[in-house]
Amino acid sequence: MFSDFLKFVRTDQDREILIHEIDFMINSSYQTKSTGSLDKVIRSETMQIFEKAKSGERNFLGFLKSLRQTLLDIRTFEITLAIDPSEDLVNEIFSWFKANFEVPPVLSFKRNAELIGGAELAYLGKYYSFTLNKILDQELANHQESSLLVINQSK
Amino acid sequence: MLNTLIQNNPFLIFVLLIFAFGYVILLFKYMDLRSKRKTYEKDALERSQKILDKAIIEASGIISKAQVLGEEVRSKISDSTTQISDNQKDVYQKVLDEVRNQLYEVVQKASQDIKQDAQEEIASFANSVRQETIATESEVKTKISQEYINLERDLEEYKRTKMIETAEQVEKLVAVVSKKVFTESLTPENHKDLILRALEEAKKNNVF
Repeated sequence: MFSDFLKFVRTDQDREILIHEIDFMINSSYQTKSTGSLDKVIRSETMQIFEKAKSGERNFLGFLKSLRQTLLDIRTFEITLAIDPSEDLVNEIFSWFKANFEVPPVLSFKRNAELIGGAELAYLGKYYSFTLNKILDQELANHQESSLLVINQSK
Repeated sequence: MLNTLIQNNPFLIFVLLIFAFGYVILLFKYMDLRSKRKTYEKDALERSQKILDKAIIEASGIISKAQVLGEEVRSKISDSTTQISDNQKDVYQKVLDEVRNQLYEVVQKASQDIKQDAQEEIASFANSVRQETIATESEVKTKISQEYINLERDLEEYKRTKMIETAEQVEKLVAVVSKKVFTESLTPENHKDLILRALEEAKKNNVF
């Protein structure tokens, strides 16, 4: 049943929204009167899954708490990009993670305007950079070295 | 009183009588001498007149002889003088010529010596100046050459520094332009490919 919810979670923002919805559901379950505002807080597509879970789970409140904790336990994978990724691009990237991870991490996108292209990746304390900046810097360093060599040879 | 004095001093009277007698004797002698002196003076005058007359006569004779002898001597002296003068003139002329010649030779020799010395001095000075000029020219050439080398080295260093600075500025400019060109030229598809490639590279490098 968790998987129905987890497919809505690709990024840390998705997780935040879903946790907010779960919290709202938990809070609303403690109230005797219907708040009547669920449709304003909870998205229609997730509302359907909540309804399904509510009808299928005997301990719906426990389910929600467990789901909340599961979402919090998912590891975060930080990706720094040169651009703000579009929905399609996020989906493309997340597809790659689904294909390569047993439990796909939550993606945390950041933007660095200094980057040209590629990505800086950070996961579980490890860091990896594959950007055009690195390639361009290497190329410029080689070019500068060549220029200095030419200048020194012309002495 | 006188009687008393005479009666009392017979010796005094005796003395007085002696003095009176002596005075009379002296008086006679004085008169005699005075007479003799006049005689002698007259006699001396006469003698001296005679001597003077004789001397005049002798002097006239001597003068006459002297005049005759003077003419001869004068003539002889004149002749001798003329002869001596002519001889001396010749000798003098010869000596003068000789002296003149010697002097001319000395002067000419001195002139030649001076000329030769001067030429040697000038040649030596010219040579010295030439040597010094050559040395100075060589020194100046060396200094100029060294200065030129230093200047060329400084110029080369300055040029090199400027070229490095220019190259660095060009590199910065190239970096900025390249980044701008890359950024603007990358399509969303390019970005996606690069991101996925980054993930593949990270996986390959066991980052996760």
